[in-house]
Amino acid sequence: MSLWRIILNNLFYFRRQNLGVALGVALCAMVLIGALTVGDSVRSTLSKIAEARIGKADMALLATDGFFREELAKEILRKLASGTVVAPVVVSRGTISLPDGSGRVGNVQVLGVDEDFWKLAPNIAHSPIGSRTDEKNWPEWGGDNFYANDRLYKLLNLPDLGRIILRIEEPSLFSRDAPLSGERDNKFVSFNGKLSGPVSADGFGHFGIQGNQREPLTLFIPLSTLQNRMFRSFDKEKENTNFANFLLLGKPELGSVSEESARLALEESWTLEDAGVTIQPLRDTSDFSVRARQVFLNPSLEKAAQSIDLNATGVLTYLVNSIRSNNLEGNGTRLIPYSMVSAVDPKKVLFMPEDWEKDEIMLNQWAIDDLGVKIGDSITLSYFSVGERRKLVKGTKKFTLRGVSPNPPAIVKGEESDWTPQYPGLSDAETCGEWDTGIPITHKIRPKDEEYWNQHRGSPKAYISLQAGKELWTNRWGSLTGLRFSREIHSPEIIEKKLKNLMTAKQAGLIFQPLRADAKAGTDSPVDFGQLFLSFSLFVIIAALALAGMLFTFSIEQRNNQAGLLLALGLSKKKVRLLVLSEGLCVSLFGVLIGGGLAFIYGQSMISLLSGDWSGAVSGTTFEYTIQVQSILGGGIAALLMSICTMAWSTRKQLKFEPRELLLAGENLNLSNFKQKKKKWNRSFCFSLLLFIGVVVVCLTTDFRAAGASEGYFGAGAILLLSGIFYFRYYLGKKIGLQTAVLKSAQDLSNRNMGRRTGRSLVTMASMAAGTFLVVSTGAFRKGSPVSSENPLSGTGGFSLIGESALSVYDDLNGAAGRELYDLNESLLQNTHIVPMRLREGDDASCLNLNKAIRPKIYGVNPNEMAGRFSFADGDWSKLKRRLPNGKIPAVVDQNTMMWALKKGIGSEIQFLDGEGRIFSVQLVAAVKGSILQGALYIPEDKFVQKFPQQGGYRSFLISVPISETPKIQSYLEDKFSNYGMELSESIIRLSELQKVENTYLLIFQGLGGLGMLLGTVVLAVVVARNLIERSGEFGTMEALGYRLKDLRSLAFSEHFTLALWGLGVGAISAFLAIAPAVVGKVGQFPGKEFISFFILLVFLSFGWIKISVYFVLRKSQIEHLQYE
Amino acid sequence: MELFLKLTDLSKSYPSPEGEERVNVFSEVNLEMSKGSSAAIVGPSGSGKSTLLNLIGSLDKPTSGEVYVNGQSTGEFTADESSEFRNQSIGFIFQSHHLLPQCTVIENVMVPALAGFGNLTGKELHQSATELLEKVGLSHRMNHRPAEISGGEKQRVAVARALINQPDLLLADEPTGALDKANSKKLIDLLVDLNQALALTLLIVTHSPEIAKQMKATYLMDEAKLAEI
Repeated sequence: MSLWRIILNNLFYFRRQNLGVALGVALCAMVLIGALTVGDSVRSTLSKIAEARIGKADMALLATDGFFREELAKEILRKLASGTVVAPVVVSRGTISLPDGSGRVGNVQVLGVDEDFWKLAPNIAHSPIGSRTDEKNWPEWGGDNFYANDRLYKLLNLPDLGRIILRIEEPSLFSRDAPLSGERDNKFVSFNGKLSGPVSADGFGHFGIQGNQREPLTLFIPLSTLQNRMFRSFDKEKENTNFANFLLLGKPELGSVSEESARLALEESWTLEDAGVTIQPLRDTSDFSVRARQVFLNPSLEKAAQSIDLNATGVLTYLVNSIRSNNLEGNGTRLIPYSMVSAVDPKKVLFMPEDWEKDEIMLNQWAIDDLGVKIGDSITLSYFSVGERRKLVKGTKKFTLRGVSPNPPAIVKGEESDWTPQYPGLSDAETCGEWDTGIPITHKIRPKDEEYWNQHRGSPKAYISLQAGKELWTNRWGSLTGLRFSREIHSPEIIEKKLKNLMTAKQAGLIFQPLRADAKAGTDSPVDFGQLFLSFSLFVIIAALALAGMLFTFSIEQRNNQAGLLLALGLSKKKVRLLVLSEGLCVSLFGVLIGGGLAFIYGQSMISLLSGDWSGAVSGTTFEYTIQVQSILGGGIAALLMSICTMAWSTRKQLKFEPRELLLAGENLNLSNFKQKKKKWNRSFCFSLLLFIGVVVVCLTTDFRAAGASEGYFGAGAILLLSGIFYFRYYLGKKIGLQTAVLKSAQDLSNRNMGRRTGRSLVTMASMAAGTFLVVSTGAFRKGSPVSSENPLSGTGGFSLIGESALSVYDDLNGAAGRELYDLNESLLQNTHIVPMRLREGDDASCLNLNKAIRPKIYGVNPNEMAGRFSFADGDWSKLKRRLPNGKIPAVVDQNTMMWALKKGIGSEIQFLDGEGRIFSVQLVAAVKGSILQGALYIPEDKFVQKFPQQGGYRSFLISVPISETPKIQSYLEDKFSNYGMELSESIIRLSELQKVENTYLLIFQGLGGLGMLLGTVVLAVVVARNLIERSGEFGTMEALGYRLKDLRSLAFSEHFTLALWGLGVGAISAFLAIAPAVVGKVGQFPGKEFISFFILLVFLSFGWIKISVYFVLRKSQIEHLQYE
Repeated sequence: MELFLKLTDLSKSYPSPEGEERVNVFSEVNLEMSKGSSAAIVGPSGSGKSTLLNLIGSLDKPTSGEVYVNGQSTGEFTADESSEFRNQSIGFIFQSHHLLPQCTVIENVMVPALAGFGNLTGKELHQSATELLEKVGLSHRMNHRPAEISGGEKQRVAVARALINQPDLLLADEPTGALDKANSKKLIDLLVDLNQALALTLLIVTHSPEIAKQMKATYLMDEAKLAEI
């Protein structure tokens, strides 16, 4: 006979009690393991979505704001291991329409790809070049055969594969925000292609750079087809259209492309041309000039070039509206329209004396003759610079004529002056009349001007000092249009080499993005659904543990005399405890095994709900149920430990008694020592009173209708709950130990019985109260559907419409000029105000995206336009105007995005790469409460353009319009900007979508909490049964003393139902206080019928379980318990 | 003397664990007691003394035979009538006192009066309980709880409780079983005094010949038969 034998005997002999304990543990294990498998399933599904999104690609090379040579792909490939694929891609956005005008889809991701791209598909067989194309009757890849991904394909809903018209923006050499960037309205390129089939996820149809769980709408076009049209004006000189803005790298067969080798290959392969930099020999001198495709030399390039030779001559050539003579007595024309003026450092050119002042000007002979001016005369230059939203800001500057330069040499057609860069719309114009500089031509162009243009093209007519030029015309793109090097000192080849060595690929705007690593990091959802469901299932876990703990305790208490006997026989307390806990461990292990099996059902049910009724929490994603071994082990071990700890805790007092007491007292060992506890009970009353005063104070100082009332009253409700629990403790004490009045009726006896097992009664009441409170009161945080979008302080910020366009809109749509440009109906839009925002694409950090946002979207906003809109949890829009140390940029963020998606707080910083690949920090300075701004960071527009100078225009719009006009304005603007792919939606709908996520989380919490509560009523039933069984002798005595069995049943029911009502009552009253703002102040959503029906269900269940327990125990006479004596 | 308690051919048997045969506790027991008399039943353990007392007190049903108390057959009682009979006509003292631990001494005494059959309520009830406690010598302990008094005192509380509804018949099942000699004597003296003072019919089950001697009659229960000695 060993101790194990005793344990085995106990397990078998007390099998009924042990089975009950095991079921409690099983329930706990089921919930724990099940919740963890929910996390597994979400992670696994997100991982599969990410895999489908990036296919077999490991890295991506992006030209942040420009285009590089397609040849770069081949050059990089040559430096990488065999088996690597480097696919050049052109990424653009566009709109698709059907030729008969019956359908239109805006904001489509357009991908120009070649066959290499498809080699990186998750399964090449399903791609347009795969083996399955024959089965699908797909035509050969190339020509005008376009493929849509399945999502776009469904949306286009073409009855038969037919033709579609794609419209995309023709890329500009440099930002259309920039001065002299050419035409004011966008240039579009149209494609008429044949929609040849839908590309599935396996065929790479879900490809996307952003870590979003929903695939973008994508149209795939053969790369050369796209390039030929899109880049037709890009390099007219060489007639080269082979450009790309994206490379995809991967090893489709085996292994992966390492980030280091890819970077190394890029650094060796990229050329200045890829960065849009050219070394241009000059015609008139032996010098040569460093030029940029974007016209203005960006600061990195300027710095690098000047570091090679400090004596390099910077040139800034700009188009002025007029050169005007201020000399009224002269005999010239007084005004030369539209001329180039070059600014140059006088110390670095021979034709200007070194002591040239910044208010002095030199005109060429042609201009001198035309104006009829002489040295010393006053000359005024008038010009346009580009202000906010491409508004032309007129500027003038007076100079004193100090010198005359000879007339420039003649220049053949198609070429340009050494001094002047290739301004789009200007340099390629045949005549002055063809100029398309983006500025209004208000001065009359004379024949002599045309003649000058024909002869000298854009040769400057005036020169000023570089200092003066920079003061007038420096902009965010740069302050030089060229940098001249002397061939006597340098050769162009050496300069090119040195420049490349001084610049990194990043500075050239070529940035690697580790797609696979990002995808992996992104699948670590900001919301760990395993943990989420664990916390949501807390009540179920507590109820299950309470059930297991209580049943185990009851089983052990039944054997108090056995424990006493073992101690009396000389076994140490440690050994007896070991016996008890070993038995508990065996039972728990059995329970965990059962629970492990049940966890599959529980987990699958949760996943089904997430894909069904609770899909609002996961934006409609469908999950596959997946199980990881570590979740089963982790959950099982946790359940085992928790149940053992619960058992150890609940039986901790047993062996504190002497063996004699255990032998004699049997299971009634733990009855209260009334006098000892008297002080504690009085203390409970004091606590209760203090907490109640706290509740009164909170209620008196919190406005029902104010923002934050929900939180304030939730706090007050929680304090009231505690106060109620403490009061109940006092009440129990009063009933059992503090009473002064003697019994008046049998009912008094019933009340007093509640206090006999103070701990048991208190735990039962408190858990019911807490459960009721939490489940009901969290309903107060459910957001009601916004009634009106017009309130500026609401989650819509007073904007009725919100939208994005595929292509940038550059002009101010509120101003007369902008409305005229886009032919907008002024009277229709008289009550409409459009707040445009600049957009830097990134990951959606809203709660609609389950992936972790690695690089959230950034919007550039004008804080003045947003002032007074939205409610802030912290700070306001004015914080965006703050100047932060170390060049940090302030950002406003939605509170939910900050807390849940980004896991940040106010003051936290997030790092980004700017347009030149430099790291900069964005600091969160203000948080907006529950708004349509979720999912992105909002930084000041001026800082945005500083960091992303090449990114022009606005793609996101917040539109304030009276509700009655909303549908009309929405369809009008969508129609007017159909070429731009503008898609607007009502902000209320957007807000509701976002709130739906939050509300669904609360619904899940309430659902699982409610389930826990319902299980909690089972615990109540067990407590009732146990209490009654313990008191069978008493009931027998009372029967012997003449009490009727039905009276005893009614007394027992009344005693326990009172206990349940205390729990439900305290919980409900506290919950009602917590939801008071929703009920009275209309803040949040009134829980409504769910609250009432849940409460009624609880009351009925409590009633039912107590009735059943009482009937079960007292169904027959208890007198036999006396007879057994 | 007026006949108060009459047992006629009272038999009690239980099904055996094997199920086939029945275990006979006693058979055809007859007994008569006049009002205000006292009697002791003695006999070896397991002879059925307590079972007989339970049948008389309507705590159990006989297999056959009749129990007449004050001319009424208890076998015809419904469950409610049995309860009322126990409450109003019988005072039961158990070997183990069976006091309610959550109630004070005086409350324990009052418990039978709260069953809903008697007329005693409020102050009247309190007064009665106090008087009874004075009678059993526990007026100084009336606000103590059972855990705070001695075994002898507990049993005296049980006596007071048995008397609260002024029963006609006091049944005591080895009331001194858990008491020492001195406390036993005190308790039996009290029961005898009450028997004489209140004209209560007293039937006591005991192993003690000394106690049996103090009763007016003594019966021996042995070999399933009851016989006067």
